[in-house]
Amino acid sequence: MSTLQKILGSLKNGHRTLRPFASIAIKRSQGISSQIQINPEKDTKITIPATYTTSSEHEQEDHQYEENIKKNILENALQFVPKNGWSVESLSAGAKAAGYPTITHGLFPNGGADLVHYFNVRCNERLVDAMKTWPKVDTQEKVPAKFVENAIYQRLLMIDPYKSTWPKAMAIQTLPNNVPNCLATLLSLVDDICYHSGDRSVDFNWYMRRVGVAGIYKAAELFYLTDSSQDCNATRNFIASRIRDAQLIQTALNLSPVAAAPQTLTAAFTTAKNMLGINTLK
Amino acid sequence: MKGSRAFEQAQTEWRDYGCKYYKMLRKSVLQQIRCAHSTVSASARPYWKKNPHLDQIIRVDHAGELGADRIYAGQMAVLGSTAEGPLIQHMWDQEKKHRAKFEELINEYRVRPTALTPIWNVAGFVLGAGSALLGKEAAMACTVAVETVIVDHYNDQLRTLMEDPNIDKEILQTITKFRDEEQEHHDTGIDHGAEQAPFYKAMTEVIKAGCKCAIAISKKV
Repeated sequence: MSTLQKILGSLKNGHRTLRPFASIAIKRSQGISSQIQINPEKDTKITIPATYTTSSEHEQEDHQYEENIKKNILENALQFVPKNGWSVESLSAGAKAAGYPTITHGLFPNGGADLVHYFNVRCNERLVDAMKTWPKVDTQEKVPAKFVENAIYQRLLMIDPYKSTWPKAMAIQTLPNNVPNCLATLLSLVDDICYHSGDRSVDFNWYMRRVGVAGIYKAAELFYLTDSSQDCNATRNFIASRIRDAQLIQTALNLSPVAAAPQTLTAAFTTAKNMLGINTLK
Repeated sequence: MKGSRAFEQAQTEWRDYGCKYYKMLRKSVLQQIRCAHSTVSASARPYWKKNPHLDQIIRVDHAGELGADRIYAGQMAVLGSTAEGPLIQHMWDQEKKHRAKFEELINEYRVRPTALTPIWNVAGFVLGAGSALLGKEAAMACTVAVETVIVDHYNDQLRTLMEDPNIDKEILQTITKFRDEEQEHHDTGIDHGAEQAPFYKAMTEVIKAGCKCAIAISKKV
């Protein structure tokens, strides 16, 4: 009776009931194997850890087990993205490729959004691994513009195999219930870029830099979608010039207001004269 | 009979799911971001896994030491040339060391610094200079009020840290040492006539309330 209910529940609820169901099946098979083996020493060996492990450890194990299955399916699903897009179909095909029934896409209640999130997280991790091997820049002397440029460029190139479907992924990310995940991956990306490029600020600059890099990244992402130049050189130039803009803004902000006052006054005066139509330079 | 038991079981199961979904919805967006952020590179940040309170602790302590640094800077700006100058300078130097230590910890543990640093910067200086303008007793009363709150706050943190089984020795020792030094500042303030300040009681209460408020904000923002 209760088994039937669980199966029904798993159909309705997806993974939340499927998991305990799956773990029960494993325990049963363990029980059978221990019954078959008559050796009492082996038997106790199997039962002792089962009784003495705390429930939190069990939960941890279960959680890890579920995570691994999910990762496997998502990884396999990525290869179907160019054909099926960031969709449930890709997840089904991925599940099939990983050796699970196609209905397993129920593990991902958000459908395509989960796939996009996984892709972002994976790319961020790869970028961090890559950045760790890059030579360190001495931030005391100059701004690590080249480092940031390379990092953003590398990260955009990771999208390349899915470039045709990426606009859809960006659209999925802007749906209200996907925004937290999307923001989180973006924040961790810019945080990692700033940290590995040698940013050690502890004041408000911490926020300025990260917001700046996030803005540059998102702008470059949009530019990249329509960029058909060879090796995406146009994107590279675009990133470089946006970083230059950011540096200009920073120098303008660092300029003390007293030193800039004469220039500002002159500019305001000239503008006023132009508006009144009494520009003497004409 | 059997049917009713199964029904009850199903009912409790459904209630559990209900709770789970409710909790998921209740989880604020910021919380969600923080969780996702920490799982993204959990391997790179073992500290976060070890103690989720640690980032809060380091952030608020850094903000506090920044404020204290600025308060003494304000007092020095007014009372620098009086007889109390060297004494305030000594306490200021200690606070500078504390601040440097927490800045180091922020970088080491990759904690987000508080977003309100510009505000604490100005507020600290104004509080220090303002109290010093009321006279040296008032300045000492301000020191006493601030240090009382900070010592309490550090003691609370030490209690939280002690609860953790895999405790971080470095953080614990740092906070203990700083707590002792802040206690010294408090005692110095009392010795130098803080209680003779005008409206001592009212003034310290107001400053204490302000400090507690600032601590609560800096933990989150």
